[in-house]
Amino acid sequence: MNKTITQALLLMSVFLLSACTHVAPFEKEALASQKMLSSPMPERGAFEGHVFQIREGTFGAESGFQGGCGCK
Amino acid sequence: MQVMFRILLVFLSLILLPLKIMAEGIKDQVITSFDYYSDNVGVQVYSPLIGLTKRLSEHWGLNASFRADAISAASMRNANGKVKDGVIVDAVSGASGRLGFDDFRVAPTVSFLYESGDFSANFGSYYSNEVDFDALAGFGSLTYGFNDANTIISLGGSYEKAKWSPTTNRILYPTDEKTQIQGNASIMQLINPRSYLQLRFSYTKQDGFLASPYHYLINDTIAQFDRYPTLRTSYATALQYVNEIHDDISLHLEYRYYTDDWDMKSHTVQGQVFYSPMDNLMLGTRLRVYNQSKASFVKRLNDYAYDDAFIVSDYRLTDLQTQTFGLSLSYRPGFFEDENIVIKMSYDWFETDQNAYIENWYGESKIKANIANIALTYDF
Repeated sequence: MNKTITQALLLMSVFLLSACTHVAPFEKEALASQKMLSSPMPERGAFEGHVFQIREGTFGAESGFQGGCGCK
Repeated sequence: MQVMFRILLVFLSLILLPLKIMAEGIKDQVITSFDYYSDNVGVQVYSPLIGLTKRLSEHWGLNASFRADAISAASMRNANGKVKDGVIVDAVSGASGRLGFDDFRVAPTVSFLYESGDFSANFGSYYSNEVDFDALAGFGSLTYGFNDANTIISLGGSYEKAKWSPTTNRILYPTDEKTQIQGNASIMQLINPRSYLQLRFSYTKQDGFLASPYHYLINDTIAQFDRYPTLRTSYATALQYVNEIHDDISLHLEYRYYTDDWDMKSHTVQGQVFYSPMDNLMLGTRLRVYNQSKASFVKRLNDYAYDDAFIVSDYRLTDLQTQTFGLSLSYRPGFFEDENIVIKMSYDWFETDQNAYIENWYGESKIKANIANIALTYDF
């Protein structure tokens, strides 16, 4: 089951990557906008990420580092 | 601590998102942020933060932040008011055990940033102190962009050492310490000028006293503190897809899979849409659904016996589903000449499904929470 899901994620990545075209620096205007950032609201994401870690039982693969407290 | 909760956050010193690093470099910036959390089981958290990022030289930068959490909580129901041996057990529900249901936490963080061409690095440390828990950690990451930054690879890791000092003076066995080692890897690939994909992977190993020192199970035959294994190894993989589906609209889709050697598994699906009707305004909405399966040693509350190796009263190790719905706003006021100030606000509603362990501990069938943030950033 675990391997299946991991393989599916990798397969999906390969599938999407196969459609890649080279993006020149002058073509990155849209990618540089705030709405296209991986986390457009990082301040909210940071606090919420911690809430999820505390109120749920699993964690990991976040887009940033989070330290621990006595609540986990 | 009596309080079930404290929120910390050490995210300003985080491993900056690779895409953002490559797109913007190190900027001089001040951030002030205020976070608020409240739920139906009596927990409130007020959490202000101030952070500074300063470019020190052509390649180096410094990031420093300070967060203070003030927590208040209503009286705990102590296993739903059950009495054992004629005594109402004061098994508080979370971290600290200080009566009065107020707690305070401080968390300073410092990190250095380095950037040169397609390479960037980040390393630092943070300290967290509260009434019954101290933690010290170091972290770092390396990021490299290939092929005109069409592909960005990031590797990171952290080490954290923590120590419990329960306010109930309970002696923790076999140790009152907890360590956590984490390794992270990610790859971001541009698909075209309007979309990209990010794959993230993390490995985490925890060692030491991994239960809450306050959670306590009372059933018809026993009254015992929670006991967990002292080792836990977990893996998580996430795939994120971001696409500008219209000049003004972006779509963010994400799936995460988690598994560990306690036999817990979880699936997280999140969708977000951001809409920018004007250059200085962005509106967002999100829906997140999370589902986890229980740890292998979790039993029904009344099935635990005195000689069980492991005992769980904490709902977070049980079968659980949560939902989160949120709205957000980011606004760059036009009346500032340089437009270097950004105001951001968000609100999220978080809710668990019905859970017997939540009912047992809090007297409520589910947890419902409000999460709000207001932040102001200034680039100077």
